[in-house]
Amino acid sequence: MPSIHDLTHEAGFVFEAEVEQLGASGAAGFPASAETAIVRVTKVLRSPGALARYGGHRITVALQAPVSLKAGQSAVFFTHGVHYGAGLVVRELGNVPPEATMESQVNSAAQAAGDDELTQRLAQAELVITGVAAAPKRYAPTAPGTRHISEHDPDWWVSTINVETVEKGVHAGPTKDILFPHSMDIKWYRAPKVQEGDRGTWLLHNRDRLGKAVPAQAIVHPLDFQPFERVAHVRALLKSGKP
Amino acid sequence: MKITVVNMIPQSLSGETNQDSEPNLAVNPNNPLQIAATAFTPNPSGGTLAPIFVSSDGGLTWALNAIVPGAGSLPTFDITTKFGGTSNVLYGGILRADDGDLNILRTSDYTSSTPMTVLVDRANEDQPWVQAATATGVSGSPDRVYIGNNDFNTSPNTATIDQSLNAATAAPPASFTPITVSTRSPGGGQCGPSIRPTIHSSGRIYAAYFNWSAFTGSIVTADVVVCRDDNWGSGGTPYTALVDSGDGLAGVRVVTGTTIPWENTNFLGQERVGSHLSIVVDPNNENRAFLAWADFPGGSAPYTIHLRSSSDGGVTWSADLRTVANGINPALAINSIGNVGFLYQTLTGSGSTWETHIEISSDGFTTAPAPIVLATVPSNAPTFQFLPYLGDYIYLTAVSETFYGVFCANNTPNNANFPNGVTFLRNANFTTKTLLDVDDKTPVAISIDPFFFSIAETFVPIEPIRPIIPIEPIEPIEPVRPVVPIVPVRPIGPIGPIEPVKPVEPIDPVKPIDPVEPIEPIEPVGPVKPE
Repeated sequence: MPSIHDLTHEAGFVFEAEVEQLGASGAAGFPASAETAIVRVTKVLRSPGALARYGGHRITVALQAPVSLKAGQSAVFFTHGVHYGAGLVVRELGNVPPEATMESQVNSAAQAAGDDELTQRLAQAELVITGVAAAPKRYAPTAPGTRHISEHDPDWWVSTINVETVEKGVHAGPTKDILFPHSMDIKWYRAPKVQEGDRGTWLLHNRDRLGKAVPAQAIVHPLDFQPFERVAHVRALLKSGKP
Repeated sequence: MKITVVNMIPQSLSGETNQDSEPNLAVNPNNPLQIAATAFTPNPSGGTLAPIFVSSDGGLTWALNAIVPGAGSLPTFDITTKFGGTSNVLYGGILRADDGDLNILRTSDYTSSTPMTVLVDRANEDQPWVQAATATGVSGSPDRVYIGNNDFNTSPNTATIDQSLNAATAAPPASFTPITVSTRSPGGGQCGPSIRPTIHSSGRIYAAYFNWSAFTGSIVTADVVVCRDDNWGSGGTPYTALVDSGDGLAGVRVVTGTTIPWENTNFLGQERVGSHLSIVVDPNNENRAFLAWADFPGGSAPYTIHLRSSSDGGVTWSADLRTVANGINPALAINSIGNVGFLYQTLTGSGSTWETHIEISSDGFTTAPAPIVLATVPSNAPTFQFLPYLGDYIYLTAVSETFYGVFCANNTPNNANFPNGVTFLRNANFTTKTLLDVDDKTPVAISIDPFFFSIAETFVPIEPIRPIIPIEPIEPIEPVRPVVPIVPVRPIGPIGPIEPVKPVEPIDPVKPIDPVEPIEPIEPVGPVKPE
């Protein structure tokens, strides 16, 4: 059985619920089976905004086989949504018995999951620097090459960072040019958009989020810019050296 | 005409606030109650599978079914789907969220929770556009699937159709083969993102695309090209049935050197522009086709949609039948009785309002029909989250006489925004014009939602049934006695003339009778002696 930490990391919807009916489905269009159960949510522990108010509602859970839960029994379910109609159906990644500390455990795991993701970005970054950004401008590649034009183009812009500290990697000189995707296309809209005066830690990569090579070292992920208030935390993660 | 408009966000997601833009639609021709749809809608709880919208009741209710592989922290990028003709198989063309690759997908049951099968996986692609049909005139009735896409692997001739002549059940790649349809070496280095096939049951396939002859700054100079194949794309030189009389190359240039702004910014309202294109063939006449695209007419604003037609198989095209200023997302369909549907969105009110219109013409747009307004919503709210705001496309199709379509709009529950009515599945208060969360109490911020619509042209409203008034019991009647047969009466003969009656002679008075002398008695006769 995966740990609470691992289950929380994977699951998008975590909640405590009481099993009301086994072998049943409350969602039209999602057939009942031996592995489906109708449960009543008693507490939402972790959720996206759209599912935050499911406390008190009945939903259908597609359970892992073999089903050991019984009607009347409560459990904490770690799930993903699979069917959203008039009723909600989720598929469990696992379930554990409820306990008084479960909410704090899930919260800690969620925070740790966030740190895990940041640690992963730090590990993948070729260069990590702390400094202040100058006004950005559109990037003009020195060797134009073949440019494919798509509505999903990143529209690279460049900003010069006045380097205060090199946190990881090797860099000489007081400044560093970094790229960022200026595009608000669905592929890129979550990437950081640099503004003049932004101060913080910059995680620079040679590849974008889809694994494609970038023209120059770039920030491409929401976590690739950490505001200066978090620099101590970033340094602690770097020092801890977790994968 | 019965118009149905439905906000597709299901009740279980009443709390969602995503910008669910760029919709597409697939109606099962074998059973039009079965409909699939797509938009930039993520799986709210994450995971590795992204959702499609599914309906089993002709679009009246919807659910999200998470079966599209390649989900990540972002929703699937470009995605379109279509059913085969009689196979019930649903095909998809996507750009995956995890690596951006083109995937061609397939499922035999669009409502099942089984993930779709990946048939093709290829990098460096853009805007897959699926069309499918069952070739019922071909032995075995195979599904034939045609996916337009902008394939950067074949630069500069990037306009491509990935096609399979037997897609329903074969193992991956299910015979899918990419065919480059662009024939001119585009000076702009590539073709535009929109490559749009349309299928006639005879096996004739038209495809429209933009040949970019130049790209300078943010201005494209383009030809609008239509190519054609007459045998399912199966011949040795597919899509070469139409030859341009000007340069002798395959693909008729409907217009040449038109100006298209490439603006990947909030250019029109909060929407971007740069590649809007649609083509459809008449299901009853393979020579009759309609085409729509948007550009700067004569090189100048406003961004305008043009609608044109061909009646000779794409060899020649009409002048503009309709133009729509500040228009985007043209979408065309023709129903079984030859009526042409023209769906589009237009920015009106000096830029304050996005209106979604459909025009339905029974005379091929010889006359301009009055537009049916499906939605009229504020253009500045909600603030965009990403581009495209409403979508780089919307979709219209027809099965039998009914048109089916999908568009995106501001989801404020305001009846005035939907002049032909609307149904919300998500919780909404139309009095306070407020969206409500799943608890039916907490207000939810407005966002962009996909809206399904259908227009049934020959709908005959059923008169409301009058209540049945109970009748009093019928008294038993006496048995009917048999009637004595009526003897026919001899016909009354003509009455002879009435002779005048002679006057009666007076008769003599009667003489008295003399008394009679008495008769003397007769002596008795003795017995007769035998001889």
